[in-house]
Amino acid sequence: MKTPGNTSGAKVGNLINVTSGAASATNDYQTPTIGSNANANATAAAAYDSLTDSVYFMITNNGYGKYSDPSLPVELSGFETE
Amino acid sequence: MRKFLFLMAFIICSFSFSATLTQSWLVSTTSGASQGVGAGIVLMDAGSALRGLDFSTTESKVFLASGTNIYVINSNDGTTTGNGYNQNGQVDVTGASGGTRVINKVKVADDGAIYACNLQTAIATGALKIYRWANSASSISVAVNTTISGLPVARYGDSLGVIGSGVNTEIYVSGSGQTRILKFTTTDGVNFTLATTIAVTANYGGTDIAPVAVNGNLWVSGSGVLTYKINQSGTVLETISGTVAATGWPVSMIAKQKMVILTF
Repeated sequence: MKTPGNTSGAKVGNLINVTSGAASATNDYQTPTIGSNANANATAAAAYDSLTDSVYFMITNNGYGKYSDPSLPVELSGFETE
Repeated sequence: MRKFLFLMAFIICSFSFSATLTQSWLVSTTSGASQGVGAGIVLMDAGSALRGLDFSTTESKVFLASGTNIYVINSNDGTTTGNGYNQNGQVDVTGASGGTRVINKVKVADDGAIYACNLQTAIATGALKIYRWANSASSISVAVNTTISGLPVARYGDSLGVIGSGVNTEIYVSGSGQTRILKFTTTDGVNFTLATTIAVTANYGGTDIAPVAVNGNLWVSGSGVLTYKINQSGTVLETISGTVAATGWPVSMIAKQKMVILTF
């Protein structure tokens, strides 16, 4: 990103299911704090691991890791077709 | 109908509260060292080196784009040892060059092929390049090497989206402040050409692009804007509420049924 970041540290990841096209704050998942550095370029990335129901986060200047929860909503795959 | 109602009840019961994700492993500057990670880790630096990440279900590995390289991470423990083209946790980047950052973002296609783009701030005179690897142990090839004039904003490569397999693979690229999303397609599964440019409001797709289906809708995010679902014409179909992911610096990605939105 061209613009310097406005962040004071990376801390939260929200996992939102949008199979139905909607998103709800009640679907939020929080991670432990990943890092405490200012994200000078304010960028990050995330990926979902369908093999282990996990998510990977990478916050520039802070860290990267793997997180999981047994209740991750993979069951919703059939929602749109019901 | 009963099945539908049961499913809805299950959804409501399951997600009426926030949950904390359990950390499997973490490499973080906060701790000054890795947590739950063995030897061969990629240490974070202070130079904003790492900006891209994706996961391959084909290889069960995580890929990190570092600006000049792609690190291959064992998804089970966060290590790099024994992975990649040279077994040193890196893919083959022989000959990769050009751009403000040679390798800025990385994404994995449905067939496991790995794609990475450079960050080009002057696409009319400097080439946008997209590299391809059949897998993390394969040799590098150049999927796209192009300059494009006449675009209102020159910066490309802050965001990358990939979907499909083989000859049906599609690549989407945009950039910070950008008002266009470039779509590349292929006839041989290896070499890609510009198929169309999708006009969007500035920054829609500047941070991340997540295709939902081949030749289908795209979820896009960018700095200073919300997260949207747009169609192939750039029309906004849906918007993620600002109460969920506020305008600012959200980063989102859809992977199968999920969207992951990072707010920080």
